[in-house]
Amino acid sequence: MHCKFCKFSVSIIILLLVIVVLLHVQSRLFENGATAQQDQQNVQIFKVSQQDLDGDNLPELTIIDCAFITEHDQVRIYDKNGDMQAGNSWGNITDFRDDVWIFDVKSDGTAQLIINFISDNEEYIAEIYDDNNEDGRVNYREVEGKIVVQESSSWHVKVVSNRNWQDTNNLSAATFKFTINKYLEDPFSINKDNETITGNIDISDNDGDGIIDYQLQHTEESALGTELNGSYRSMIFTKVTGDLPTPYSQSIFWPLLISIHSYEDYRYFDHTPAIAMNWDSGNIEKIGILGFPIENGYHIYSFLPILKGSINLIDYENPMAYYDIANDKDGWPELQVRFNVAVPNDPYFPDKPYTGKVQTPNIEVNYSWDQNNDDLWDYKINLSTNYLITDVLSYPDFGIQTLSYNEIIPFISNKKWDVAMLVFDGKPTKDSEGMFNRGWRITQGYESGKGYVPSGLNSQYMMGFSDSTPDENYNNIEEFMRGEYNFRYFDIPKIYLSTYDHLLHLYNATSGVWNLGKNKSIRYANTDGDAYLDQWTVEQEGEAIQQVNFNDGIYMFSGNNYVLIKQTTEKQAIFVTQPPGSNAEWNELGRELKINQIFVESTDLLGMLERISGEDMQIFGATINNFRPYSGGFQFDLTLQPNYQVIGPDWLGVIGYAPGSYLVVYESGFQSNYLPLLMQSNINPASGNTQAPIILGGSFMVEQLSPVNLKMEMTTQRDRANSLNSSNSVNLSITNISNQDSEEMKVSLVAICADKSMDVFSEAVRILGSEQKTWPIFWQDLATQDCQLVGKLESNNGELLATNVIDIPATTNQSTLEKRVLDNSFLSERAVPIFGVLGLVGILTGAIWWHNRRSDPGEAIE
Amino acid sequence: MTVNMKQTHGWKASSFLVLLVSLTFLLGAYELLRYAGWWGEPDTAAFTRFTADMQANGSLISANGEIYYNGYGYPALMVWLVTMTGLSVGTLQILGGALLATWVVVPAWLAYHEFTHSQLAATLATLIILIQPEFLFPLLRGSHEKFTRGLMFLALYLLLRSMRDKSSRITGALVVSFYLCAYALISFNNFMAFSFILAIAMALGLMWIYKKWPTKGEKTETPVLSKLILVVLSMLVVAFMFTFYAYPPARYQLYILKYFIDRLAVLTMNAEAPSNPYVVITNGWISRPVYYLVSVANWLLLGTSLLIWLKQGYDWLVKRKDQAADHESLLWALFASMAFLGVCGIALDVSGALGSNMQLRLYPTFAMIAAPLLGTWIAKQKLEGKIVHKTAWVGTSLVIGCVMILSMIKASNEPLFSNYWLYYSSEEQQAVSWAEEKLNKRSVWTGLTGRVLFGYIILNDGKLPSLILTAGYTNEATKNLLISDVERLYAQRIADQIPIKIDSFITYDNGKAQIYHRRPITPYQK
Repeated sequence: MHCKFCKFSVSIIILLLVIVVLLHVQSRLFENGATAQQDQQNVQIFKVSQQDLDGDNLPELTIIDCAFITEHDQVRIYDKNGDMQAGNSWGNITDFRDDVWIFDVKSDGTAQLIINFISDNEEYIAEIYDDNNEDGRVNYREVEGKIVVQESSSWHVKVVSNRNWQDTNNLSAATFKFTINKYLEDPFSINKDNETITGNIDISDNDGDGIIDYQLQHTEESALGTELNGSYRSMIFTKVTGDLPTPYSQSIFWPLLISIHSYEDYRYFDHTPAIAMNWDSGNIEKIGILGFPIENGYHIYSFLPILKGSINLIDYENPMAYYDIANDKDGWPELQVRFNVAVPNDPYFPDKPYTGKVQTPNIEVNYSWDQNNDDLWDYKINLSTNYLITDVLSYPDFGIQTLSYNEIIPFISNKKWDVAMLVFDGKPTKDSEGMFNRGWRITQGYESGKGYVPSGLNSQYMMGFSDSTPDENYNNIEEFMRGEYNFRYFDIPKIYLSTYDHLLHLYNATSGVWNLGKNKSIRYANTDGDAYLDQWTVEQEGEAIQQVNFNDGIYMFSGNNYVLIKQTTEKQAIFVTQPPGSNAEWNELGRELKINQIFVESTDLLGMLERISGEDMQIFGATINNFRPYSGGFQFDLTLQPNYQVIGPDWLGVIGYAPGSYLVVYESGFQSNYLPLLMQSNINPASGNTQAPIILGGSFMVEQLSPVNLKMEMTTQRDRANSLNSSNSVNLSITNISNQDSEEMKVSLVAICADKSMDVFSEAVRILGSEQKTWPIFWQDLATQDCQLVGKLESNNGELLATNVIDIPATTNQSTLEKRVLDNSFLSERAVPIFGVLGLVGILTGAIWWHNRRSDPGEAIE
Repeated sequence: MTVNMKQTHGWKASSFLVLLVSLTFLLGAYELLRYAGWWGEPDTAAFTRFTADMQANGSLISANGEIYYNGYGYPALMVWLVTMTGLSVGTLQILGGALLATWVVVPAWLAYHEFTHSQLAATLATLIILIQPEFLFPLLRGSHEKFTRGLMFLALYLLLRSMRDKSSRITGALVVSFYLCAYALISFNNFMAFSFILAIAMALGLMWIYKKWPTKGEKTETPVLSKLILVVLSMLVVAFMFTFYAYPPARYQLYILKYFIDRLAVLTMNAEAPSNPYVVITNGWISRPVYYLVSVANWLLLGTSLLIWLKQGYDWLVKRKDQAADHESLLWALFASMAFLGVCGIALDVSGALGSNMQLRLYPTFAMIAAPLLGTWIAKQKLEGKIVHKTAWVGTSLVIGCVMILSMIKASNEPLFSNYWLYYSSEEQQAVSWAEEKLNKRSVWTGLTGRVLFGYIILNDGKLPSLILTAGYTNEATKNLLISDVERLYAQRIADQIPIKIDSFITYDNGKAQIYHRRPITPYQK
């Protein structure tokens, strides 16, 4: 019995001791925490401790001493619903459902970020507070275990998801809605001046395959009336392959929280959505799907808004698409297509004063591709037309007027474009947005060593505001780049490989330039208006030092006092194709370029010509100038120097000619350009200006070059006589009665009336040999004045080359004019009241003055 | 006897004022009658826009509308008047623009009375200022200037009155009134107010120096002078605060000027519109003699006032006669400071350092001070002999009546003599209405000057057309041109060409106005 009592007593004591020990251990655990542990890749945890804030013996605060930015940071987690567990593994004792997380960089008691987690009816919500007053911290205070944020009245970013944040494996299929309250530099480029703007980011599964595949960023409807100058109102990011986005391995506790980093090291949709935090400034830097660009997919940046429930007409980069045409899945695209869209009455197009007032839409396309798959962009085709895309791409709850991903390349390939350019980059670069900003664009030319924006091509010429194409803004291009263009293209985009220089050129280009650096360049021209470039000019410091021309199957080289004329049957293009839009086309073009690669310096015009097959004629001590084609052939000026020497067949028949300048005219004798030249020697070197030609499929004729001789004539015809509104049709014509082309000159018409001189007309002009040019000019007579119309032709250095004068006598006298002024300014019809009141004014003024006489001046002054 | 004298003076003052007010009303009536309201004046159009936008937005600084950068006072007053009268903004701008000028007479006469201490001299001075065409032109259009000038007169009156009064209570009340008046002036146009206050401050400084100047006669004390200098200087601070803090748009215009010297000159010398005022002489009128004839009032005032000022200066500073009374010395000092600013303005204009017509803007302010100088001198003249006296008055009455007519011809830009036409025809506005309907959002060139464009804005209560109306130079983007009989005549008058191409289409014709469409040259032109 006694023993039984002893055993019971001992058992009770042991039980009590165990309870006491357990309680002690628990309390020690709260105070001292656990040993360091490594839970995430870039978070090192030193200690997890807990505190009971309300004395209920349960923890309400978990403190994690760790390193996620500096060597010693701290995260403080406050429990809101009494479900914080005791323990030392933060993942088990805290949650992202109803806790408040305070991130304290340097563990100095301040907060750089506060996240208030809420869960409600299958929705997981995070309300995020960052620094608002630029002191690098989020001000808050703790009141009875509750956190009160004092930094701002509301959260800055709110995230809502349908999946538990802790279930990281399922985040790739979750939907997300980010709401941005007030400003955020990225993604909306909204700064604090526009801080009333609210932005939204919706991330969802568009095609229903259970994987998030698009992100829509759009501003609130209420922000539509606000001026967001240059800021994007909406963006869409879409991927087209079904790869699974993975959570960031560098997340900081919460799977969505990461630090700022380089976003172009990976592609968008590689990872699940995130919030990138700049811990130095205490600000959120980026949110949503990060990474840039994508290998297969597209995004849209629009200045115009996207509204849910509507089909939206959007502008600007609509779309910006990427294609893995190498099929290498290396994470980097080989084809990038950028559209720059202006819709009717677009508020951002064209330039002032017409901004927002032009009905005409416009599309610019920049089509960049990497031909050798080194991740550097080699070629770019720029295209433009005035066209509105009406195709609608539907998303679950809205639509946009754009092309679907698969329709983009066929659209570009099959459409006839008004304007086309080819740009080649000799020193290619890696750029996440293709080559669009390198060299020329539709909106950007090049002048004085830098890009020239707006070039006036689509904002002026294509809108009808200019009579001429802005060629002057495309006279040069960035160093090491080659550009070719046709501003009246009206064709589908095509390129060709030239037989002469074995380079890819724009089919149907009119002009081009290759800036080789060190003030050296090659200029290209299409002189005969066919589809191929036919003039290559090497320039040093702006001076032509070599030139090659091709016409009617004949190449002509001139440089270093040497002339080479070569006949050939080779076609001008090795092949004509379209810019590659598929793997097969890209491979084929690469193969062709490799097969046809030559190793001749691009400035070695003679070296390239020597590769062309055919018979040639050489003249040492000669130069060719002023080459130009005409409808029946071509002509040029040939200068023979003393001791010139002809080697090979004398097709021109110049052997025996005295040194001097000659006009050489080639008349094509056959329809085909490629028939072999038939040599017929028929030389008469003895005398005479015109020589019997050498017939070679056409015929050359040579005559002495006569000095430029210009004659100006003017006639005028008055439409009605003796009228205030009579006008004159003035015909001003200039004839070059020599066979030599003139230099560029200025033709002008000036009216001199009394002592006033007025510019009526002015134009830069070049008159070719034997050419006559006529200008019809309108001149409204100055009715009351005798005038002289003086036509002038001046050289560029101001020398008067020709002039003509016509007298235009007055048609009426001054009184007739003033009578009409009287009639038109209401004076005649209201003469009585007008003169009456004016007279009354005068009389009253006089009367007041007179009224003053009564005052005695001496008394009046007080 | 004293009572009778006061009554006599009171009756005289009233009769003078009634006559002067009637005259100013007639001037406004003439302006209205001359063009029947078909007036396309740029400042009137601009203030119609400002007023309409302020009314529409219900805010002094409308976020999306046009703002007058130099002050909100005039548009705010117009909004109030529009609400009170029920008139449209455009109608009020035309009607009120001409007729509201009448109000200037009373403060002008009061100020001149303080300057001259004579009803006769004040009346003469008021008449002299009213015959100044440069003073009249801005008064008769729909701009702030009629109120800024009136407020300037009122400020001068209050300042002078406060100097004269012995009671510190009344002086205090007058100074407070001066503050209110000066602030109102600043709110109407801060640049004009700034230069005006600066001129007063300079004048007070000059007067202070003069008071220290040795004299053979008895010296008079002006105890409030130094206090007034402080009051005026503090007003400069108020103007500065208004420009840089109270009314943010005011500083935008200042910041667009690149150099500090430009900003300083704009503030101190009230330069606004960039144009060359000297070209007006040769281009603005049908001939140089006509220009001199219609400007005769300017030359008369300039010449005579300068001679009087020199004589007074000689008497007071060189001969050191009795010290002048405060009102006389202040007038003399104000003349000097206004002339100084004017000379600086001309020097800067001629040097080309600023692209602004400062002397043109400064002249009316200068004339406001020169008029009482001349008025006082005339009032003091006592001619011997009744016949001589009477003949002189008859002669000058006739001359002054004629000068008034000439000045009015100048102030109203009479198209018979002026090359700066401001009127437009109903047919021109009909053509614009057609273009609005048929050429929506396209551009129409409306003439060598902006009269049709400005007329449209006034006629449509500040509304901008849905199409782009341009004027002046043309370029290749100019596709549609409105050519009217008035425009053809104007081109003939100024010996200029109407920029229509020989092969243009006529797309609209109402008999007196046509719209020409330039033949397309590229595929993008239609």
